[in-house]
Amino acid sequence: MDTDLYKKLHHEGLISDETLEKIAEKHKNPLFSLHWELKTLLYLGVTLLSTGLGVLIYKNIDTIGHQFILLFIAGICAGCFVYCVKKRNPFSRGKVKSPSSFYDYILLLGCLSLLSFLGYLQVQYQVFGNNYGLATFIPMLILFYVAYEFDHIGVLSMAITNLAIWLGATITPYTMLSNGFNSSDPLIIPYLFLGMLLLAAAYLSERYNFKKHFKFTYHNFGLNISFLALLTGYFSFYENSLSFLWLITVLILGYVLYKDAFRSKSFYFLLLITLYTYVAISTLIVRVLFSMDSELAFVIGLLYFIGSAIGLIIALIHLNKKIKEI
Amino acid sequence: MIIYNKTWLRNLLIQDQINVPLATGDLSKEEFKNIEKAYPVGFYSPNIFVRTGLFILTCVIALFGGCLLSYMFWDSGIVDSGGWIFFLGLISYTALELVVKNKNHFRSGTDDALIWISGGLFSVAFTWITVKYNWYHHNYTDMLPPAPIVSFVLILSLYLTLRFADSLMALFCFLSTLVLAVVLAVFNLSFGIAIIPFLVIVLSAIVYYFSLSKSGSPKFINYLHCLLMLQAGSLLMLYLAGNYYVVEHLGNKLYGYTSIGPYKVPYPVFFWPWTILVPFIYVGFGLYKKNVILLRTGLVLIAIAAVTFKNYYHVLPIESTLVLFGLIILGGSYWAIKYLKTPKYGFTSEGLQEDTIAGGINVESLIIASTQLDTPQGTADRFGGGDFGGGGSSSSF
Repeated sequence: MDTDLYKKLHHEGLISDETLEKIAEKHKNPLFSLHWELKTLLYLGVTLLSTGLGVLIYKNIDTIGHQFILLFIAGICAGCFVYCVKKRNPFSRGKVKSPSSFYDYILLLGCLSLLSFLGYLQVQYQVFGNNYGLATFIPMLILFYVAYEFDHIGVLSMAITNLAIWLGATITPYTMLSNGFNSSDPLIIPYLFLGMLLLAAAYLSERYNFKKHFKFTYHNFGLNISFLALLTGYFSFYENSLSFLWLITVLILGYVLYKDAFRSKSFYFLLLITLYTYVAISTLIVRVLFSMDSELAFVIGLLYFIGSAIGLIIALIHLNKKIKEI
Repeated sequence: MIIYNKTWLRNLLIQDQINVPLATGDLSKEEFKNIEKAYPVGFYSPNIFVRTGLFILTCVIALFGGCLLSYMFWDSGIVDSGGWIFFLGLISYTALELVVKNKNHFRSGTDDALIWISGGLFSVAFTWITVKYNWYHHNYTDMLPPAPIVSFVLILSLYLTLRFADSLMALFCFLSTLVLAVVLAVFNLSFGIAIIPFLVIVLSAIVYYFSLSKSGSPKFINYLHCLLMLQAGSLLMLYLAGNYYVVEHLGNKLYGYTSIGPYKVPYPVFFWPWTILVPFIYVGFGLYKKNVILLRTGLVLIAIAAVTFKNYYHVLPIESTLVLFGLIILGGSYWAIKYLKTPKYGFTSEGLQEDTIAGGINVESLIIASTQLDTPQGTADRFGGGDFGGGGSSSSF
């Protein structure tokens, strides 16, 4: 490391004596941070351990050793939670600073082993009977509780995934029976509902200032699920004459979220919204062109894509500038 | 040679460098702004999201633009030739030069896309033309590409690297050098196949030495990113060339035997220690020299070495291995974090800066969200009703 640059900057009067001294001091004893490496190792360790335990139970069901394995998993799970309860910072509505990165991963391990444990109980002893809804509902509740209580975004993502699974598990049998939809995929409406629910959760977290920093995770899941559900809906009702309503909904949702993205200055969401609505509009235009079925339509299609992509590039650059200004 | 404004490139380096003391709080915001003003950078280099968007859209434009042009000239009959592809490549290259020169794009997504599109089109055109005029005799197998094509790709990627200082292109250039060396050795030497591993090892070592020693030199300052990428790439190839699994499978392919075939890796006395020890040597040197690239490459390679070993020797069943290593890694890193809490020998386990990317998004949470999702899903499958999956939610990342 060289301090020549800073000496030069100092000479030009761009940095003060104090700053130069501080930086020179740091350069004399440079610190090499292993933070990133250690975190990756922790993550790797948690993943290996929980995967290994999962496979271990799966292979040893109905053998003599399985009770021992069950005990082992319960022990790990309990140990993790005891450690986290001991080390945790008190609950608050805002963001609670995690005591250490080790704590974060131990909590993750605790939740993962809890899921394995509950899954095992269900398979072996049918604790939840044949009620698959309940079997996924309980883990979901626990995960949400842990995510809020211990303030862990990773666990929150797991909880949201479990919510999606639970929704699938509860609704599928009913829709299949009632045969309300003649579609190939009866899950579109539930998943659309889920997406909206998550978007609402994102909105409420911010509105009532309750774990505001969870908003990003809710919003991210909600936005992607909603748009994907809407687009899937459009394609599975493609022949229906009212199918364009799905795309109209995409545009409306896009507009609402666009406002919100601007307010929260998130270019990431802005990009996602732009691309999803672009896909929606383009499918509509391509469909119209296909129905014309002429050589002219082909040329118009090519021109449309070139023109719209150029337009989008300009729009993105402009939006990026605009979002920086506010 | 380099297309970008050199003063700006140097100013950019200065700005990058002063970001570190700014993040640790040694440099005040005001001073930072003053320096930014005194050393301005006029490039258009937006954040990663804009860059991704521009990359995708540029590809869309190139694709449909190419289609439109081809359609317009379809009847004249010139489209169905290598020359036409070359012409399209020329157009995209011109667009690239214009965008960079007039609009000052620098790693903006548009230039990234155009570099690869024009390079790809030129290579396809060259292959097309040379195949059409029967340059190649029948002694080329399916395994290895003909030497003239590789040489062309090598020269082209070298030119693009020097002109645009693109680090991925530099890596590509390095890889095509290796391929060219292998192709030449195999076709011109009777013992060519036997020396491939050693050839690659020697070449990678030379490239690593070069990129390491030049990364501090002012002469190559504009190619710093390329050199760093080359370091990582050459370290990786240096190891892989001697990895037991790679050597065995390449040998099988080149000697034309099936995987059950009798090809045995020669000198296991050399290749096994190489497979196991080199990653640890990397990590050791990385810590000793405090070199991040060596250290991280070494850590990744330890994982590869473990998988390779597991592939040949089954000491423990897979699940016990996973549990055992999971516990060891967890325990080890716990100990290391505790031990380095107060810095020792210049190492610390604390982060020096917040690990967030532009837009204030926590990187870690994104990683967890995109990888860890499979686990609860796997658990749900065992309930029996597992045909729904949460896949829709995770695939969107």
